[in-house]
Amino acid sequence: MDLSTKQRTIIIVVFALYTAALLLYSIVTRKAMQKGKGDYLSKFYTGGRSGGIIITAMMVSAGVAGAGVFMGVPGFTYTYGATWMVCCFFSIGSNLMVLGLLGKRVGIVARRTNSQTFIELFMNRYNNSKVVGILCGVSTLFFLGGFAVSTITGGGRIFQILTGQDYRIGLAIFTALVIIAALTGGIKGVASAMVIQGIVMTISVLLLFIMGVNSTGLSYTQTIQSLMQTNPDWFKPDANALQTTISYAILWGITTFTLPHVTMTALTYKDTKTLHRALKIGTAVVAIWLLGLNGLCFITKYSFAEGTLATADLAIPTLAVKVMPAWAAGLVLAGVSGAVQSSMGGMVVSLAGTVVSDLYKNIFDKDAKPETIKKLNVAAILVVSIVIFLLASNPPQLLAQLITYATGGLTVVFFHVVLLGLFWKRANEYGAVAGIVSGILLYFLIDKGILAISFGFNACIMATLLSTLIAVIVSLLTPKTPYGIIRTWFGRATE
Amino acid sequence: MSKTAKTQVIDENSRDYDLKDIENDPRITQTTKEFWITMVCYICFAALMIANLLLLSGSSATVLGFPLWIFLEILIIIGFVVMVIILATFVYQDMDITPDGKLHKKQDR
Repeated sequence: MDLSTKQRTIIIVVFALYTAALLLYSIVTRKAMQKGKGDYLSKFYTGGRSGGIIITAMMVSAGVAGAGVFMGVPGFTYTYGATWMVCCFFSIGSNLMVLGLLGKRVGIVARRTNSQTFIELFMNRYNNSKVVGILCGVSTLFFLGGFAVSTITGGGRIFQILTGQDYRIGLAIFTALVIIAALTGGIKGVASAMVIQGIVMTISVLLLFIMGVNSTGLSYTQTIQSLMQTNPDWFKPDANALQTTISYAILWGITTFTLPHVTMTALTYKDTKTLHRALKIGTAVVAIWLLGLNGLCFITKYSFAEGTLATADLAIPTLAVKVMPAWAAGLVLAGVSGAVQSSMGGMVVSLAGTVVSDLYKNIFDKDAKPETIKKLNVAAILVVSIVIFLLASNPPQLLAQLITYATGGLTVVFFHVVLLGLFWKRANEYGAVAGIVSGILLYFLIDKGILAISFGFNACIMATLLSTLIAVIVSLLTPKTPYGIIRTWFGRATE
Repeated sequence: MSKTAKTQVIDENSRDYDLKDIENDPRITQTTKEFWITMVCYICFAALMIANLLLLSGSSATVLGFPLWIFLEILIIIGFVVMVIILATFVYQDMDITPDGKLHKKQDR
């Protein structure tokens, strides 16, 4: 990207100011974790279940919106047009699916079972089955870990392009900020930072939209109409549009609740008034981001002819540099960084919880001392963050495969575990294990074309449907979950 | 024997019982109702978005300078935000989320 030294310097200064402000904010708010009810683990992973409206809204919204919102998604739309534009808009349902669909139910049973993490909660539902715990834990480490690496990689690329600095410097800054926020304030620290990051994201999207629209010399609608003359096919759905749009209506909308770093929000909010208000605010904020960034796709398509961009996913950063003064481009870099850090922060806390609480404490050492858990937790945050940094710095070939399967993998593992566990009394641990194992196998087999049953949908869709069916059948053929557990999950607490 | 009395004699670890012996917490019943309402609303939104793309993207009509289908997509998205606000304000019910809390009836709000 063609940038003068002066422009790059200004971008770096704005980015440095944003980074310093975020660091200062983390240090100032470090005492937040000490407030709230419960022991160390409860405060670290659920913030003492005292999350407010803005924090709850941002945990879902900023947690879902990673680098993909600024890069991958506009890149797909730039390349493929109308079909992908519609697909992108399905993310608007993320708050509804996490807070509206299962927020209250999870809130009640998490308090009844005193669960601190997503997996701990569902281990309880499935008769404290260690097999369910290990399968969910290991799947989370692999798939969510892969997702975290892809998220930080996207941010690192934008950092390199806009500042001209080494890609790994960007990765190191993102990693350090996430570690500081997590270690000083636990989930509350990460969530508090998300509020700042969400605000910066919103400002940068709005600025970019206004300046992008003004850059063409035409009105917004004239730009669209001109584009319709030159690229009429871009506005038409592609041959497989029905299956593609249905696939992503499910994957980017409904199954948001299968992402552990987003769904953990349901463990942290204070009360249902907070939840309802957060749902309204979160949905409005995501709508602004999606309308702004998708709306800019008309501008990028108009401004950059085919073949003029290094890669399609650089459409938005390239537009930022082309149409914005350097200070504003620096703000866009800060916005992208905010998107990356907020998603990664949630993922790191979720991954550390999987290692320490789900795998170590709940499966291998139930009587672990609180001091041991605290030390392990600090170590897990550091190790998880550093491993993500190292993998992103020098990605092994296998990782590219893992990233491809990351979100789909989480969907096939958690879709039936969560939905059947929460809403169907007859679901049991045998069905859960059968569903998880068959789901992962089916996903790979369908994706590789060995089982030709995708019917044009994303491979994950058929794998999820079939594995859920298998979970239902196996549950019906095996004994019910013990009475005490079902009464805790569905009945009155005091009978 | 009353239903409550009957549930007390079942062993907590028993796997051989009738699911009907468990009297649902009213909050659980309400959240199940909200689950179905939420699902139906989202599916309607997704269906409108997809139908609009597939059926109207070939039209050359414009509204306020936008191609008709893009104008409608924007309207559907704004409609979705309004729908979420209506759901969260008027349909979803407040409740305690403590282990043995209560459902708050509308008149309690």
